[in-house]
Amino acid sequence: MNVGFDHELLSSFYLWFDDRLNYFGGAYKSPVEHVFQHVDSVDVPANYLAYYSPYRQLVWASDKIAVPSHVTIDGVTVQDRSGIYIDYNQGRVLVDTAIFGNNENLDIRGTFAYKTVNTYITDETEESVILNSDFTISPINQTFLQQNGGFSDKVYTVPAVFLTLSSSNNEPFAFSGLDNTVSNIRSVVVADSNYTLDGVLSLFRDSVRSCFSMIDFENFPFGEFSHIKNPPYKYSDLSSASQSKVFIEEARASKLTDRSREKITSSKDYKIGFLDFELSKLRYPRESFSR
Amino acid sequence: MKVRINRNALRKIESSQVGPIVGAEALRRIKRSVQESQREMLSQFESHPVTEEINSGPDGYNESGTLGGYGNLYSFIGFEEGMDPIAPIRNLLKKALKIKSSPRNHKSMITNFIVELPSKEEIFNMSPMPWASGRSWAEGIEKGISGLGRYLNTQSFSSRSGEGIQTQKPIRGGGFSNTKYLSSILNDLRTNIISNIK
Repeated sequence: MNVGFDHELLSSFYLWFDDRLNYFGGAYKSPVEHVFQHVDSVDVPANYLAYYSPYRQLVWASDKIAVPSHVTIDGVTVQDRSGIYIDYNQGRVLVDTAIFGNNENLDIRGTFAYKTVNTYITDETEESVILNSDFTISPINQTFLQQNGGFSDKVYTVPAVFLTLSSSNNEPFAFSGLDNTVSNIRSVVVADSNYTLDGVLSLFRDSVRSCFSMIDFENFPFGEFSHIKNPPYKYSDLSSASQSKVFIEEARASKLTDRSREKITSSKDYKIGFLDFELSKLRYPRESFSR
Repeated sequence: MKVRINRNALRKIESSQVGPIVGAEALRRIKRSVQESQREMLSQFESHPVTEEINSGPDGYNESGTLGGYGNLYSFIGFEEGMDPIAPIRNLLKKALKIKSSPRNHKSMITNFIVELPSKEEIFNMSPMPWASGRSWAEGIEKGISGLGRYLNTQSFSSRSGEGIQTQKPIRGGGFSNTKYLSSILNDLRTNIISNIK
């Protein structure tokens, strides 16, 4: 299926959200050496082995720190897309078995900054994210792998933000078919402390009445394995190259009340908040459907 | 004999004499129209399926169709039994609408009247979600409501509304359909005030 407006909007919003968290929120830890370990997980493409970092999402773009696009395998530097893919989203390296053999004991190392608040796009409902998912707190002294002992696709490392496009509609705006496409994006923020929760809520509540860039899908920086297509990628460059902007009409922050939070027994250790965005984009929605 | 008319002076006299008479009549008509439109709005609000459903409490049925006929909004949103979430909105809508006339220019016979209507924001502030006070259930009716309230409102949690549904993990999807509610009522109020003046 072809890429539609909603695909581009949500991806653009995701890139903007992630950049704001990192650049203005400083939600990352400075680069450290990661030793990647082989873990047999469910979503590894055929003919690849997955080696995981102790942490989840790696910082993939920054105006403040260098983002490497290589790792060392048994002491030899290997560039991304040269028999390996660095999956920044899942904090792992996918190794092509045709080049490196079916070896589960490779010594893979790399120096990466990692996020202290992860960001996920999800198509699950809010209640499903909160009640059906398993959360693992990203620890300081204990790695994700040590704590969890493995992976499943429904385990998320928190603190994290889950973004969903919940609803949208076209409102007539001007003659000649110009509409205001109003889109509502909802996000659930799951944090391990009130400090982090308040930080995220405040950072994005203050984005109201500002704009972010609409990024064409062909310029989206990630490939199919969440690797960077053309490193180094900087959001500021990508954003300034786009003339198409989306206006944030509303940004509301709220928290799950303590009483309600206590009732979700499986999540009693987590602080949960919500960010509701209303986005406006003026466009000619029917133009692309004329023959 | 040539007669010269000082038009500026004449206009001044006209406006000082005509202005108060026309202004008073205009104000009377506007007041009448505003009161009539407000009555219509209140009746529209009270008879709206969403209002009626929430007024029915935890025993009501889903007459608004927002839940596909399953359960009711009162329990779905997660109100505690005995709560009256409609009352604060009703009180706001009942408040007398203020009519202001803008300062008159003595040279002009035009008077501007401003009617202060309740805003969507005021209403949304009056309708907090029982489980997340920064969110509005009235806004959620139009933009979508998370089903979290229903799951928080279960019997295992000592049944806040008395009619909550016992759920065990994993849960089912939300299944909420948005519908126009207070924004369309406020739009109609605006339209009615103008049309009732004529």
